[in-house]
Amino acid sequence: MATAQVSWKAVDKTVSGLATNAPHQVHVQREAIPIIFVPGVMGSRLRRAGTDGNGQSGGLPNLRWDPAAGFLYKNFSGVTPAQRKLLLLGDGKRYDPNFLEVDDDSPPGDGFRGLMTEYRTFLEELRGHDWGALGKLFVFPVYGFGYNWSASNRTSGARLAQRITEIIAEAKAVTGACEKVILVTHSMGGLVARSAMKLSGAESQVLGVVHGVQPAYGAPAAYMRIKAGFEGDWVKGRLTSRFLGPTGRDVTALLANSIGGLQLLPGKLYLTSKGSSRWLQIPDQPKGSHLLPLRNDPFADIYRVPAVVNPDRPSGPTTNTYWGLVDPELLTPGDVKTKTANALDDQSDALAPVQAPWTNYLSYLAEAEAFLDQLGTYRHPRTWWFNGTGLATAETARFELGSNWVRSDPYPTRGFRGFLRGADGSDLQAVLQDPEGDGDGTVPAMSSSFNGSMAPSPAPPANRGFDGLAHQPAYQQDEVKRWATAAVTAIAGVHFKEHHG
Amino acid sequence: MRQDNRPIDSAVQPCPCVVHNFQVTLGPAPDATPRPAWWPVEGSGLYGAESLAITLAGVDAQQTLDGGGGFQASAIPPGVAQVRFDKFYDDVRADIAGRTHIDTD
Repeated sequence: MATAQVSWKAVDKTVSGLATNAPHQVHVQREAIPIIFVPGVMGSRLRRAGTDGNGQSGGLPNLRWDPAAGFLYKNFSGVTPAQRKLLLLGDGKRYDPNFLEVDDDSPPGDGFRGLMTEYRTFLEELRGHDWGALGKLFVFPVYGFGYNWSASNRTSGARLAQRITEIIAEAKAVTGACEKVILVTHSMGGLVARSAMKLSGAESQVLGVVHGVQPAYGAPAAYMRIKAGFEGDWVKGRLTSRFLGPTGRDVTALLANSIGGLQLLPGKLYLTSKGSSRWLQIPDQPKGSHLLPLRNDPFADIYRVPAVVNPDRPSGPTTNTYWGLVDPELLTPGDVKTKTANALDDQSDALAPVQAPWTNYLSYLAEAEAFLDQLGTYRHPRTWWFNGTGLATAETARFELGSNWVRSDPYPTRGFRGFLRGADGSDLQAVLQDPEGDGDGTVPAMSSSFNGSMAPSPAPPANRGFDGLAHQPAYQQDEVKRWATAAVTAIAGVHFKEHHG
Repeated sequence: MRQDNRPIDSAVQPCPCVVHNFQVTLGPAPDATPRPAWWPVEGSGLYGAESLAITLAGVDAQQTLDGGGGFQASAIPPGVAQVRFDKFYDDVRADIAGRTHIDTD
């Protein structure tokens, strides 16, 4: 048996010199194109580093995060902010990106174990997909890439770049040909993928990307969650909120003490659908309002401003910055004061009792800012994306003033109110309003479609807005799954046409 | 047509010329190393019904692979052949066009 091996790129070329009276085989060397799925924030299962994820250590479960209802109910229902922080970030003075690791096999294999189970249906369907005639040329193994979503997306991107190299080597050993992968991302996974390509040099190893509901330039929902806790409507949504963090105290303790969540905040490129970079509306006294950030810099104008939410009651009006992103007192949840008045009315005083945590927070914020600045408007030249529309989404964040003599808790469940004294001496509360704007309920359509300010995006190869598509279960929708699979096919098709237009 | 003067009732004589067979199959190259368990499982994978331009015994012909991805010819003069799967990509192009129709905004 004589065998001639030809590349998939050259099957229509003449094979000559085939002697008679001997059977011949012409073998087509196919190219493996691994598909790597990169999940969203909280979409990776995490364990205490150095354990196998089973059992307990020091009275805490070694598996620290699994978005399965049973795990969340057992470990995250009704926990205090301090307990929540201890579980996910540990008790160190500073954030340690190596405190948790993905609960995966070693070696990771397909990586599915490290992902939350809700992604499984889509990934299994993708793995079993009939690629039709493309299967004559290509093989499409499917992988998942879990990552520690509390760490900087720069770190996760570097690990993804490394994993891409490993997967290409593995695939090349099987088929003899593998040069590039296709990335499919959900939400924060889009930032990780873009970071891998731009900041860790993986672009040349990526054939194309499918982004789903990515906060490409950030989302005010991240601001609202830190101020008011995770949103949630109806029973399921309220349960989710209860597990993830129902109050600003819970969410601040997590997201402001780590880096990944801060990178979901609106960056300097963020733009509302009205074309404004000013997305935070603050009421003025006695009437009117003003918008922030003033100079396309929410880091300086909003995030680095300590939130003073409950000042003393001086005789005159207060100008306390209740709208600042982080209340310094909430950074160390074990020390949260139970009284509602924090007796602080200026930034220097506010910093005094919690200097180290605030300094740490500023350093995390600096990394978030640098990361988003460096990522900029970058996207892979072959980028397909989809986004959700038609759901009430925090495209802006807005406070409204009302009377409040009682000064109850500034951080109620799924809400926030900052207290102040008005120009006429009355006691007021500024209440953070429900989301307003168009999107998937979490990410505004403007951001997930790369419509940012200052640097207009080039025309995309293809994109699609799905009306009524919710953020978290995006890849559970049949229409989305079909579209994403077609987008992967289209990317492979572009690769084919490069050689056989 | 060969002619000779043998009586019509004499034994049939073998043809003194030499004839050969020709056989070719088309399929994917086998995996160089064992395929990881999570990779897609595939069947035999031979490419059936592919169009084949073949030059055999100095004669050009257009053929089609059978359902098993093979073509064979018998009783042909010895020599070398050349093949070309001239329409291999046609169904790929058609399939891509059909599968990648993406509704866009």
